[in-house]
Amino acid sequence: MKRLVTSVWRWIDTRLKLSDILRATLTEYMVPANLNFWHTLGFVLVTCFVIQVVTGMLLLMYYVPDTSRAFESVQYLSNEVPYGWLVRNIHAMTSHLFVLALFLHIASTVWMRAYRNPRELQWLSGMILLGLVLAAGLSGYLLPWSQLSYWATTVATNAAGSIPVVGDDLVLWIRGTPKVTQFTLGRFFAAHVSIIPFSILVLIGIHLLFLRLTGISVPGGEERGPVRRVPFFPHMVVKEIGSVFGFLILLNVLIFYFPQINFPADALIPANPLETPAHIKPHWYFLANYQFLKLVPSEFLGVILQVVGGIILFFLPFLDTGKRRSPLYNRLFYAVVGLSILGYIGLMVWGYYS
Amino acid sequence: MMRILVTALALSVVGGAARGQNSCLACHRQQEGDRGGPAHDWPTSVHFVNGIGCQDCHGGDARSDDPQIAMNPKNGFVGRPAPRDVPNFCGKCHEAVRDNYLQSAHAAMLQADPAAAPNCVTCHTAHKQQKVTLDLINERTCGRCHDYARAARLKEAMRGIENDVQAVTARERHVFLHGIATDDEQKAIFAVRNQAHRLTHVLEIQRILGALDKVRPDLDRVEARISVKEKVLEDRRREGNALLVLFFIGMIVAYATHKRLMHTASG
Repeated sequence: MKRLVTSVWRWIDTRLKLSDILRATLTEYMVPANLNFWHTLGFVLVTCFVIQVVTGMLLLMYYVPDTSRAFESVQYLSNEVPYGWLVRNIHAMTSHLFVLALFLHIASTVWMRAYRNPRELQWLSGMILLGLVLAAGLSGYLLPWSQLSYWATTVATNAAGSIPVVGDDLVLWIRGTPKVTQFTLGRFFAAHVSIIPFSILVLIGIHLLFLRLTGISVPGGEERGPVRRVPFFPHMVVKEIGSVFGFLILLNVLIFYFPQINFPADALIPANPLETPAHIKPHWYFLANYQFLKLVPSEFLGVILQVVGGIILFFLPFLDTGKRRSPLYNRLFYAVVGLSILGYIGLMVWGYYS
Repeated sequence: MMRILVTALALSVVGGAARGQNSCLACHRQQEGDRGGPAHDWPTSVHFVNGIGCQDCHGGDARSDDPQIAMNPKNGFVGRPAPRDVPNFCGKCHEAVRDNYLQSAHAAMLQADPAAAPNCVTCHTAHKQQKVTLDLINERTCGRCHDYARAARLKEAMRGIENDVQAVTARERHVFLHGIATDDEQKAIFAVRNQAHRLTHVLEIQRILGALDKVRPDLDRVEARISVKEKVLEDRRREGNALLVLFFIGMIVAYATHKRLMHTASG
């Protein structure tokens, strides 16, 4: 048997040179030896994406994208299909951890200023990935057609209406109809299961390609001189696997001990467009934006300020260039970044309790 | 029971629609005294919370801004019912409660002296009704008309089933919030609670205790079904814990291997 497998492998390898490719990408690919936990988050994010694709395909076998049957199909999956509840819980909870890991990945990249020359394109592709992951979360939220999903989507899509001139048309474009209806469910479903995941897959490929072309940033900065390097495999890979296990532990604890995080009472009853629940709030990762809009006197101003903030973040590599800066500039930079992160978390907590 | 559920469902849809367009509230909110009071009280009512609109009890046409049309008797409008008519007014939906009430001493008094006798709104209010608990039987409410001692005995007679219903409800909520469907159990608990609560209106302790004995097996059956679902939750958590141990071992092995590799590389 072993001889047969070896022969088949040799036959394929002679033609495709797979062992050369594997050697170049794994054992001969050298990375800085001092890479820390934050550098493993990319691997965790890829794991999240794989989990979402696999569980998403399983959910697709039972889910019916029809307003009259969507909730019922999800209930059937959760209560009748063997381990359907687990598949659904993994999918729903991973969507939260996906965003959490992505936020941490971005925050650590900003803190280490790893976006600077020559990694600007890597940063830009990462920013687009952030938008796509958030869009995946928003579109997926509506699909169970529960009270929570219906009204949270109504609230979230309403925000687009405050943009001057194009606001109303934008809301109509997102929903397909003036209110959240079957047309909204249809387009959210199409986006969630095909357009967005395919785009994420392509962007992950591009992001990793940029990573290989520019190399992983060195903690502390390249300017400090040459650093010791180790093979990506197995040295870095086992560390990344350790982080994936850490992620799985967190996922497990949330699924088995805190399922209400995903499914509060309003998520467990079917959507009723005629009855608005008392306290509907968006996802935790939109809570800071939601609270910010509530604090700013004009909704238009709130939206514009957030758009400006998004643009600054998107073009950060071109604002904070790789040139050497004065110690005062560096202190100011870290003060602004630190306060921004704390402010974001503060708004999120405030939004939760408001 | 089925009739109450169907009526509640129908009213929640109609009432929900009416909440968006309700000329009664729009007009009465601007008025003072007895005419304005109900409109201000109404949002606090459990009926309002459940999507029931003014016209569901008072009839009329809540969509019309014209009082001549909105409050036209030809459109089924009934204003404030006479005290003697209140039981049938509320009994349009709460049939079984009305039937129990009509067998009580309160109902007998209603026939003799309608203005002084307690009817539904005496205890439940007309427009601020809350979800009923045993706390509604209290010295302040009952003591307005008579000695509280008998009401207190009645309350004690109800306490056992009330506590049991609350305990089963809490277990049902726990299972429900863990993602297990409990539609049938919710309906069964709702039915038991209604059967028990409506008995209080008879005001005869021995009759109540006898009737409660017939209700209890229904509650026991619900409890048994919830126990099965709790077992499912326990089994799931056991499997989750086993996975948790495996993931911990995996993490420790991975980090230990990484440390060993780095040590070898630096050596």
